[in-house]
Amino acid sequence: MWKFLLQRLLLFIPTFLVISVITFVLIQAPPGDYINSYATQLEASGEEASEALLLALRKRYGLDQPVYIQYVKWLWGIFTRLDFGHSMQWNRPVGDLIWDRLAWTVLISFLTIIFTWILAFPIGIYSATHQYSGFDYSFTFLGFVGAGIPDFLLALVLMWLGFAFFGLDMGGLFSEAFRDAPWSWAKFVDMLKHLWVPVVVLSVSSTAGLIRTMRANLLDELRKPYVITARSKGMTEWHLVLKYPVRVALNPFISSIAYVLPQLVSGTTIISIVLSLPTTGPIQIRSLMSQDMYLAGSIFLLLASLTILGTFISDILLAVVDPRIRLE
Amino acid sequence: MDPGILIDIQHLHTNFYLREGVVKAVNGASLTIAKGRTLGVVGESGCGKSVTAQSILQIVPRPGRIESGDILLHIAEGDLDETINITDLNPGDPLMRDIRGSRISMIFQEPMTSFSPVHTVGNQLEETIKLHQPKSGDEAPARVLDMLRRVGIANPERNVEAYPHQLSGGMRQRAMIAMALMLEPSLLIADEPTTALDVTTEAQILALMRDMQSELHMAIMFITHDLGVIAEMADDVAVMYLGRVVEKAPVRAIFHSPKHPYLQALLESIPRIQKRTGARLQAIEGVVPNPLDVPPGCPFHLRCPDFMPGVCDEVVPPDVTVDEGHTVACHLYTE
Amino acid sequence: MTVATPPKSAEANLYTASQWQLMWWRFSRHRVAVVSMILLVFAYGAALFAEFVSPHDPNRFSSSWVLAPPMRLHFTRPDGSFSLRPFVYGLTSARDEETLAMVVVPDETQVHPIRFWVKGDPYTLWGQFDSDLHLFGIDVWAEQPLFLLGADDLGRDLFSRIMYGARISLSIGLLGVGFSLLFGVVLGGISGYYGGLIDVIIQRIIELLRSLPTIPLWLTLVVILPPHWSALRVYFGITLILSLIGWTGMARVVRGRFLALREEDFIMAARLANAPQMRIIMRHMVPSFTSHLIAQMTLAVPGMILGETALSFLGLGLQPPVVSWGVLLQGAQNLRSVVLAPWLLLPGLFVVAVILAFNFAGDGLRDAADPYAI
Repeated sequence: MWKFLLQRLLLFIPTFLVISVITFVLIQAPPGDYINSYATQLEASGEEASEALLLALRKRYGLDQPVYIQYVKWLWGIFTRLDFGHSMQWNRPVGDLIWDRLAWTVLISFLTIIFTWILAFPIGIYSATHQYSGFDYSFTFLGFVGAGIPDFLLALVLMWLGFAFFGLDMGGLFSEAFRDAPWSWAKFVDMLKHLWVPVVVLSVSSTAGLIRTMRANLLDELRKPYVITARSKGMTEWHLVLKYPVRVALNPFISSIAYVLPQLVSGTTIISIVLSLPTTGPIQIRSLMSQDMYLAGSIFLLLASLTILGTFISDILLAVVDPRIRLE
Repeated sequence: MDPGILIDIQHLHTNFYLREGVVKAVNGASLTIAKGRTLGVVGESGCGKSVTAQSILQIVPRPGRIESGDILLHIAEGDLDETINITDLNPGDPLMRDIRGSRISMIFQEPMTSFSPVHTVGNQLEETIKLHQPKSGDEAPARVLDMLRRVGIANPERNVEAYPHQLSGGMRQRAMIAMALMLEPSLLIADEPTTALDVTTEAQILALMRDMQSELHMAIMFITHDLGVIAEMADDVAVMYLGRVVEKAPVRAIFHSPKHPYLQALLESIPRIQKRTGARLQAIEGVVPNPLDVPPGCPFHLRCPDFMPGVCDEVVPPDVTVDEGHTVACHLYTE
Repeated sequence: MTVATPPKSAEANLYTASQWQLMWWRFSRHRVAVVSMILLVFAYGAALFAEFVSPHDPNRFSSSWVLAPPMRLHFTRPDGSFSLRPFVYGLTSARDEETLAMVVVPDETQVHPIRFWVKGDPYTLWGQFDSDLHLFGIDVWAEQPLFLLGADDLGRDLFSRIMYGARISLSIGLLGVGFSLLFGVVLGGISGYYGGLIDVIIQRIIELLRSLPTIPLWLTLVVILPPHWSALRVYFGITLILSLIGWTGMARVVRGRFLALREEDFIMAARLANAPQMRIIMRHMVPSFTSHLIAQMTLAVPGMILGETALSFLGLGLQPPVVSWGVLLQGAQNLRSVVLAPWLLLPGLFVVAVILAFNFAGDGLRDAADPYAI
């Protein structure tokens, strides 16, 4: 078990490094560097950008050094000081801008996964044990439809319906009154009233996928001889289903974290634009549009690390649940 | 009912309702299992031998269903003496659940997949006790260890904690037998229990089953397609073809005076050492008919060398007693 | 199980049918999949002949028809008489009595029957053939456009724009899958055939790519496409970026099949017969997984279409004046315009319909891909 964990952990590190290299390449990719853009920015606002100042800045950010040194410095800054670089659009350190937004992204993704599980688990079991029943058919169909609707479109339609028919503004995370208020019970309740919209929107397609996974796996498992063995021992049907096949079908369910999380993070990015949520999505788009690459790159790095962490967590949970993996 | 009889199956029909049509997997089979004796059920794949066994336990998988017929189970324990007709019970009936695993238990062909891969062997064995004797709580682990020892599993204290994938094939089948015998059933159904094992392990498992039988005085219904194993294990034999029992006899009679043309052909097709070299192995003509479309009359008439037109393809042959305890369903022997 | 081996079928020709015939039989039993397939043929046909199918030039704008509502097809005239040929009412501007804003409303005095094969805005089909013939339209097209699905904020016909947008959105799906197929078959094939270290490395790369959040990655990649690129190059660039993730699925299928097939007896037999390696691969292995690959390709198209739609919707993909479904949906980003003109969401309906059709068809194909399974 511990060996397995260590293996996975060791795998996590090179993966992170690869992502950091990709990110750094992306940051460096647009023509011109940050100082050039800064100079243009200064000139545009009518200020003089002296050569001396630019040179000093270049030195300060190490831009006069070879690229790989710059990469190591950048990575070192992240590891030692959580220094992700400087956002030129906001003229502030990237770190200041993203932490609370990242927290919202994580929260929404996390809640969605939980919600998805709560829905998909019983429906999947029921569909599999009542294969070809009306219930099964309707959920299979709904699953297809759910998987086929882009989440941002769903968010758009929901916003429109809410506004056109109920006069509700479903966007944002807080009502006007609470937006800048300090945290309180009332503000928390208000947040919950808004939070369900993105959670429901995001969970539609992942729930559809998970139900199908659960159903397919369970159907496979229900045909396995050990189910017949359990039945021949005199177990009641529901006891048997819950103890054996569901337990085994749990594996793909858990490993779904690994691929659902990237989907959710991805989905959060885009629906946050529609629902105007304070996640990393809007700020990432804005930074990309203005080529504020340190900000954009850092967001990508953090989101990617997040989803890779998800893979790691799902590996651990799998090992906990399945002795075949643990004892290998 | 004859007091020596444990199970009496009469005219059992078990059908599978597929999209393509109805498969009559068991099509009017009748057989009896005597107390403490071994009945070998032999036939090629698809003849209905496994489904007959599943019908006894009422665990026929969907879309299969027992259509009609009787399966009488005779229970005689101390003062208790009663006969239950299993086909009268629902698969989910508490009485039926009570019979499964305690009075009749079953072992399967694939010892690997017949255990849940994510629970320990001990957990799955103990469960059998807890299901039927919920008050047995504390003594269950000790009984599990004892049974593992009796079926010859080395180091039971350690292996009880093992997961199935950590045991060898032979060990798994021993554990399977331990689980089935946990509550000392009066009938053990063994559905090709050694098919997946190598020859040496097969011999060990067969020996173990015989030992356990003499220890626990239980009956065994031994299902196989291997006539060699039948010769070794069975006291009585039932030969099945296409959902029907075509011949029933004590094991000696089966090998020394086979009556049904199918059984005769089957025995002919076994390679023999004393036969002269260079002779071709005899195969049965034709193929087993499509089970969706069973021919009228005798199920074997399409392949039978003694086919009598107008009789065999029209009338289902009744059971004819040719000797004591020896019956055959064939028109060659009808008056 | 010894009994439930379900009978294949009584027909004798079942045993002699070719693999493709068997697959077709299985597929055609899947009614939803067949309907989806027909729908897709129509959608791609419309995209191919967008100029002819759409009644108007997608860029013809007019301030008089800003956010004109969809015209309803009528069969009963104002006097109550029935007409088999559907007709629409013309539009006129009026002042909303509540908001006092100018709005476009139907004018029941103008009756325009819908006709097939009519003259309309001139176009050049595929940049080659000049014509002004349209599949359908109304006689007075020059003064009164036909707005089947309404008009956008510049008074352009939404239906025509959706038809033109289909060309971009649907072709990106196919092209992206084509790229993915190329990468996937090559890398998956190498991975599965050679195994060893190469296999491990490729598998790691696939795992890494699959664990990345796609939209943030795509967005970042799209930004580094050089800004001076022509629309066509951006189109190819975006397609390449989309297939950067898409190939992994393809590679998995190919690798999996290769690994399984390597162990099959008929491959072993071919090897023992001393068949050359290339012949084994091309003659024995590839044909036995083509069907799986086709199913996987069909199921991969929606991801591509969705990707393009999402990127363009966010304003970072294709840019106007290029028309794609994502670009069209950009017009619906603003809640105010959607409330005023809900028909701006209609391109989304087309997206959903095509995606569903691909999913259903792909599902049917996947079932049919293994014709020998029960």
